[in-house]
Amino acid sequence: MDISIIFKIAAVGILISVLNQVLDRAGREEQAMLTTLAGLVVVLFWVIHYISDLFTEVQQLFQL
Amino acid sequence: MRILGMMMVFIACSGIGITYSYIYKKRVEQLCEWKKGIVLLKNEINYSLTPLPEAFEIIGRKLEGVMNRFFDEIAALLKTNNNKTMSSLDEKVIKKLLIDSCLNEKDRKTIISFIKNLGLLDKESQMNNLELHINYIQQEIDAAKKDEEKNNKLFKTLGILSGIFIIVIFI
Repeated sequence: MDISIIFKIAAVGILISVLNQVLDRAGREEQAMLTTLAGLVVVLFWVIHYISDLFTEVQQLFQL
Repeated sequence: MRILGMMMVFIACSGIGITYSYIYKKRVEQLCEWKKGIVLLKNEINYSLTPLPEAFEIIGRKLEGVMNRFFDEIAALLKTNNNKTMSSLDEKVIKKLLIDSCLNEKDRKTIISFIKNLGLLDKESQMNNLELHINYIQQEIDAAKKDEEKNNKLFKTLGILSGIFIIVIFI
C-alpha cells in the first residue's frame, strides 16, 4: 500500500474542513454540505479498492 | 514540469476567485457612479433646464469609467438622427453600452427602463421619476455593499482553496 495516500486524505480532510467553515460563515450551508459530500466521494474513490482488497483477504482467510 | 502545472492550476483558480470578488466590488462602485450621474442629471434638469443630449454630455465628462462612456454614448446617440427622443432609443444598443460593466441583469433592466422613461412628461414628473430612481438605486447600493462584504472574502478563499484541492487530488 502506498503510504502517500494517507497524507493525501489528511490534506483533503483539512481543506474540506476549512472550506466548510468558510461557506458556513458566509451563510451557504447547502454548498458547505455539498463540498463535504464531494470530499467524501473523492476519498472513497481513492480507498475503495483497498477496502475491496481487505474484504477479499478476509474471505480468503476464513475460506468463505 | 509537474510543479509548473501545479503552479498554473493554483494561479488560475486563485485568479478566478479574485476576479469574482472584484466583480462585487466593481458593482458597488458602478452603482455609486450611476447614482452620482442621476443626481447630476436631476440638477441639470432642475436648475439649468439643459436639454437631455447636452445634459448627458456634460455629466459624462464628470463621471469615470464605464459610466463616463455610457453617458457620452447616449449623448452621441441622441444627437445623431435629429435629436431622437429617449423612448425611441434602441434597447439593444443601450444594453450593448453596458456590456462591459459589472452590473447584473436586474440593474441593467432598471437602467434601460429609466433611460426610456426620461423626458416623457413635464419637469415636475421627471423630478419625481428621478427622485424615485435615486431612492431605488440607494437601496440597491446598500444591498450590493452587504453582498460585497459577504462574498468578497468568500470567493477569494474559495478560489485559493479549490486550487489547492485540485492540486491535492491530482498529485
